[in-house]
Amino acid sequence: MKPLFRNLLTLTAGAMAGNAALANELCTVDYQETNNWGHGATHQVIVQYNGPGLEQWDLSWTFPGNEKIASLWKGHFEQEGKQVGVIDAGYNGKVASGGEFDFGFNIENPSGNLPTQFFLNGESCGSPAGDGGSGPGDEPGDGGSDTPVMGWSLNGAESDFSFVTVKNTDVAEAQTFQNLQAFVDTSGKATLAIDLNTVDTGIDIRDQRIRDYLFASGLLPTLYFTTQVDMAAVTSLQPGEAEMMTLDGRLSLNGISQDTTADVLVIRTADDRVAVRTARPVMIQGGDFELSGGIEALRNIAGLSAIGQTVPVYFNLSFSAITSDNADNLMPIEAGEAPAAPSIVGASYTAANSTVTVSWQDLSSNETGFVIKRRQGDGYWETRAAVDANQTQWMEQLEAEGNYTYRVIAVNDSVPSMSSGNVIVNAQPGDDMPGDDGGDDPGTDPGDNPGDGDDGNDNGGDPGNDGDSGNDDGNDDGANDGNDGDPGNDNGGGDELDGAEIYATQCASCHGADGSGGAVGVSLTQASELSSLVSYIDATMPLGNAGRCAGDCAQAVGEHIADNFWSDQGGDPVSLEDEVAGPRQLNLLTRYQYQNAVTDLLGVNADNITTNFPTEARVKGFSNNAAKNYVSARHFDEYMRAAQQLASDAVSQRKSALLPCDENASGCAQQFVDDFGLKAFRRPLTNEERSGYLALFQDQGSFNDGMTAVIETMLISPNFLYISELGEAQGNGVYELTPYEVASMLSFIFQGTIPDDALLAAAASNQLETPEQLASQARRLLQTEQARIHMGHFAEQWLEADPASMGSKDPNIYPRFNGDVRDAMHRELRAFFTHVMYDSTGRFQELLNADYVFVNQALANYYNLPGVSGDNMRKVMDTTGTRGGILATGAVMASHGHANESAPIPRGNFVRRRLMCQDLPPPPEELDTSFPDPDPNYTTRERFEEKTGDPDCQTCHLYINGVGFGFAAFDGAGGYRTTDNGKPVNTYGEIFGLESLLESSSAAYDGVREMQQILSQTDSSKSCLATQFYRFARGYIETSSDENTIDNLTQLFAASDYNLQELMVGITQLQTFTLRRDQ
Amino acid sequence: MNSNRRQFLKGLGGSALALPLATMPWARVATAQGATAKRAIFMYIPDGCIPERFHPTGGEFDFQLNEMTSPLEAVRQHCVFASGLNMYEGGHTHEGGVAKVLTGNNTESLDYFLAQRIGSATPFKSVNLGVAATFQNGAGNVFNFSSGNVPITPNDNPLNAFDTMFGGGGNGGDEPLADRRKRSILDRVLADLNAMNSKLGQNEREKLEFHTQSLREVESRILDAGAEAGVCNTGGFNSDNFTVPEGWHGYPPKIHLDEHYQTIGRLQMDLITQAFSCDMTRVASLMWSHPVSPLRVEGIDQGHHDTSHYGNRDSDTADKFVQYKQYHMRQFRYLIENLASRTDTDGNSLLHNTVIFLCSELGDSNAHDHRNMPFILAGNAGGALQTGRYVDFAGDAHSKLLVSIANMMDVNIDSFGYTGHGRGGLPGLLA
Repeated sequence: MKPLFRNLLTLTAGAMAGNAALANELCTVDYQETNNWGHGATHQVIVQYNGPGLEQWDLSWTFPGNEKIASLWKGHFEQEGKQVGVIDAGYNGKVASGGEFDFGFNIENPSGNLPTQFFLNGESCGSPAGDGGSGPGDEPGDGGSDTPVMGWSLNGAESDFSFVTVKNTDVAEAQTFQNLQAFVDTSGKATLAIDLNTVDTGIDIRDQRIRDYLFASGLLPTLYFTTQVDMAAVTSLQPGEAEMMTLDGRLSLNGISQDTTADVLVIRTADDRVAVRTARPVMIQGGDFELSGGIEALRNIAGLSAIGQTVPVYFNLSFSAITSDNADNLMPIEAGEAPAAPSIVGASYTAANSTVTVSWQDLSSNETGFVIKRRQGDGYWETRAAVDANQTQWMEQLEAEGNYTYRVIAVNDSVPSMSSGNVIVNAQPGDDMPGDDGGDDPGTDPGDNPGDGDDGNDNGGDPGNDGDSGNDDGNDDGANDGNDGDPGNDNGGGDELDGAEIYATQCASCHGADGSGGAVGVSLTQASELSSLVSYIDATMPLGNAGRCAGDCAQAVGEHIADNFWSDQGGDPVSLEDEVAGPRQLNLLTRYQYQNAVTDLLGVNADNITTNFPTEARVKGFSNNAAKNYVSARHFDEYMRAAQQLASDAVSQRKSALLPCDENASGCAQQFVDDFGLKAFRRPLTNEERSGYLALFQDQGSFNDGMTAVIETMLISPNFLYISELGEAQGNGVYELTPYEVASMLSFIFQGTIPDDALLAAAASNQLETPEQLASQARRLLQTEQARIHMGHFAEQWLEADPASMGSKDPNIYPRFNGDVRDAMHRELRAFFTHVMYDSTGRFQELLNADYVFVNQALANYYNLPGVSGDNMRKVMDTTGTRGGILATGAVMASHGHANESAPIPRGNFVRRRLMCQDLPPPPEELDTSFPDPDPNYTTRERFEEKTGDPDCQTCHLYINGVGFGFAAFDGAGGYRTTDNGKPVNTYGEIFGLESLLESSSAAYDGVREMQQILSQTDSSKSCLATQFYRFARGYIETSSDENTIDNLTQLFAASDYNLQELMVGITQLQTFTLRRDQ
Repeated sequence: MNSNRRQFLKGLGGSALALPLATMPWARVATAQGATAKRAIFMYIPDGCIPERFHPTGGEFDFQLNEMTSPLEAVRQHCVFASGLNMYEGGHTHEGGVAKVLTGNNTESLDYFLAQRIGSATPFKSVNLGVAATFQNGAGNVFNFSSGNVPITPNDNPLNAFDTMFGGGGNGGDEPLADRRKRSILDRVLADLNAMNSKLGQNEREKLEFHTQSLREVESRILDAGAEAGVCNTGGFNSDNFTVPEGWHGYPPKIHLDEHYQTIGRLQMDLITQAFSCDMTRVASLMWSHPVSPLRVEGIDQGHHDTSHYGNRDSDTADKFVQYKQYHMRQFRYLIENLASRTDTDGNSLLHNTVIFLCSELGDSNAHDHRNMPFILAGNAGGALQTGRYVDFAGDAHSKLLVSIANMMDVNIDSFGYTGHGRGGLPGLLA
């Protein structure tokens, strides 16, 4: 056994012993820092409790530094100095013996150290568990199942392994493999085997070239990755939980084995399923596997200026537990034992026929053959041939004279031995000469693999480093030189290092020209300490070529990144782009806004006043679109009708409240006109209006009739019915909103109604000018009850999950779906969204990653959650592991479900449209778009999978289905199910084009929770929410001229660490919030 | 005065419905007209058809109706059955289809276009009605559009629509005072509109001009009282006293309940017939349900749209879909017979002077396509259209049918929207 594995196993055993010991303690606290942004951090605490059952809990500890809790969820806290006490939130107070509870919080001033000692209800967690003894039932290794697990097999169809090549310095292409096999045995020994002949780039000729030139896969067809997995850690994961793990393993490729480390996210997707996915790409250096020559050959053939030598590798592997129940699926994969290395005997050249004969000594007993590699001069290693086992000699005819170095590797299938030593042949015409042993010690340290000598070649192929790295000589001296060359040389030796240029040449191909993440998906926009960034670059970058950008180079690049990419954190200004103002417009009140407005204006009941109003035209989900909502004659009829009713009610019920004066006092009519006009029109009346409305008042027979006529008329006036964004001309086609228009905007954006007195007063005194004033008003408005209702309204329109969207459900198919459930679903969506926004972290991510639901009795029953009674909606942990996150809410699932079945295609489109802002076109006219026939033998997913499998369909359906199929566990009425048509549902999926439809990134998941985790990490989902809120707030659909505006809003959102309230406040901080232009 | 005005308001609210005879200050009695008016109705039914079970077989005058249209046997002499018409341009979706069927990808729908041209002589340029059309998916998925493709929401409430049209006359009494008050209110609103208009750029000016036109239409209805005021018999409307309760009574609201679907549909068709008879308008649209219809009637155990994905065209589900189509064809027959039973001022029936265009947003519902659309015309358009025929147009563009309908209404255009299959009307449809 190799030392590496022995170490790992020792560690594993230690962890298991530790767990066993802990079970006897009162409680075990898993305290983690899940996020840290420098001056703040998020901490997560999970307490495993082994004592007798609790009705309430109180956990206390002492912070090691000056941490200060800013906000905490799932509990209440008190802090005095470093002392902290957290008590349960009520709903989560009850903890059974062997149960657990958790909470989380954000702190300021993280010290970097975590507390270690905890007291639960006053007792130290380390004390004995008393009568407990009932440790957690699921001991590591048992897989939580009754039948013993015999191993874990790969679900090939749901797994993928891909690598990204970068050509011409900035074009990234993803390549995948069709045939993967993997197996993890009960001890955790894991083997992944990839048939390199099944490489799939989507282009046949490219596949052929990669097979022939890069992998020489005809000779060495299989890639192996072997590693040891800590199965105790895996099996202790509950379904739905995930953990980061570092897998130290060995990668065998192209006749070379190298130690390789993969940081992976291990997700327990179900009792019997585990998904393993790269948390960050595994960076494979072409040179480490002697692929440089192949890469160069590809480059030449394809006529490219460069192909990157560093290849990021990603995988998503999905494993199913194999037990005696499904033992037929047991397909152990094992990489063979590496054979012993052959010993080179010599090589001789016969000038007469230009033939070289290489001889070696077979020292292994398990080889399946030998591979011969050759290098010409100081060139690249290439695999020349493979011969059968037990052969000891091979000949080839040379095409050209020169120096050739040969070596031989024994292989057991594709698992290579160490290389033999090298033998050099100097082939000259008429020169028969035996090669002598090159003196290269075969070596036992893999680090001494002759491939090291190829660093010079690596640099030569590196994008942007135009072959000037002659300092690397490629000598076979085995020394790890070259990397230490003066970085100044690499950059032309100029005195002034240009960070932007270095970034462009050395960093952009991976991280993207704008630092947004690029091919490797590692974004550089998060601000941190500059000095630590610089030292990180110095020590590790470019990945695989560490040291090439050290010292001043690292400093220059670090500064470039900090100055140009970092988003605002702790006072650094966000670098906002120049915005183009939105259109001047008149935006007709929606029925919702109208009802709010007349209620606030008159104080009368207006609940049913809009019942007969025409419904709005909804544009991209939003009903307040200025471009598509006009006043038709029917609108006018309804406005008149409503105004008559409202004016009559107002004067008979609320006359004194609406009158600012004694009706008998002189000038009271004018005062009323002025006062009511100000509120109704949200601005002071003009002189013409004052006299005109006074005349109307006085034209009536009595004071009451005068009031009635003025109210009635103002409610029909366009000044009431439209939100005015006309502004005043500033020249150059730009208009600035008046202070009163700004007040109206603020009020309608944050509350969906007319401005209150404070806003009107602020407008009157020009207190709505500076960004600070706007932000302060926005924050004030956001804290009102009306704002909560309004934000619930936004959530419904954003997710197209308002009551009208849910539709009817077939009562024969969904008998449990009744009016109470429907009603509770709508309340849940609103309660959930506003809870996250106002009462919890406030962060966008929680919308997607929450592990709780809001239910009343009816909905709890529908969700199969026990112990909830009554009609009040309350927050409850989702103990089923099936809900959680906004996409899994009943309202969203039912709104995007058919009346009689689930709706994978509409659901996929929904996520792309509403969460990712990727609006896919309708299918082309010429395609057959018929629905798959109903078939009792297939699940809905299977029917649509088959129907959309055609390549023409896949152009779009790759993107749609990869999302939509993941919802298979939710039926058309938002209920959870494990079977569809009597067959188990398949909730695996892969989201392609995570950031845009133009890129080939993808991520696999199992189930909606994981899908949401992925979405919560993408930039597209965050910028999309900013876009959606912009549409909602501004009442129009953005065009290309709004690009910078929305980018800026996204930046502000990012700067707040994706705080929802800050996004909403951010809309007022845009340069163009108060500016408009002529259309 | 106050009490009189109140009564007037109440009249708007519903009391007028009880009156067999409504005095309408703005209604022109049809006999006052010169040439006979032509009228058009656009009627939508949801979710396409099964073409093989919808379109007739046989020759132009010697044809057999298919199952889905079999309820029209009794009125086939009033119909032109058109097969082989395709809707071109744009993806084959419900939403795309309903947006296209009356626009042909123009920037407005044909009903609106005609209303601007033949609707000015009547109190209402057009009337857009629905039967549970704004329920659920119906919001926004309408088939009528004003300029710039601004959707026109159909009115699903026939009592409200009737009030708007016929309820405004009040009960005599203090008319001049009520009128004077209304005039002063509308004058003030107009002044506000004009003041606002003076500040606008082009786009918003169009919006406000549209708004102003709407005011003008309402104003002329209300204020053009006087010599022309006539009497039109509205007796018999809603004789079963269907009511719409106020407030929220659970989901869905009563107006959208399946059990009232037919009652409301018949009231809307009665209203259209009544409106034509009184020459209140010359263009009407009626939208039955909406794309992806959740409708369930006649005890069919699957929803309308669910049956439209029928799989095999002879399946049980397909039979249910046939039943839904037959149901709607019976409603269509009711409208045809209603119009045929009323005599217009020229002695012909209202049907003779009208053209009805029945349409849907899909061709084959299972294929979700826009081919071989289920289109039927009825009425003679004042003699322009010969009925009792079946014509297969073999793949021609439906936008030509829109041109032909305009031509029947004496509006001479040679294209409406899509022209990829040439200009002009449908060859062979009109003499």
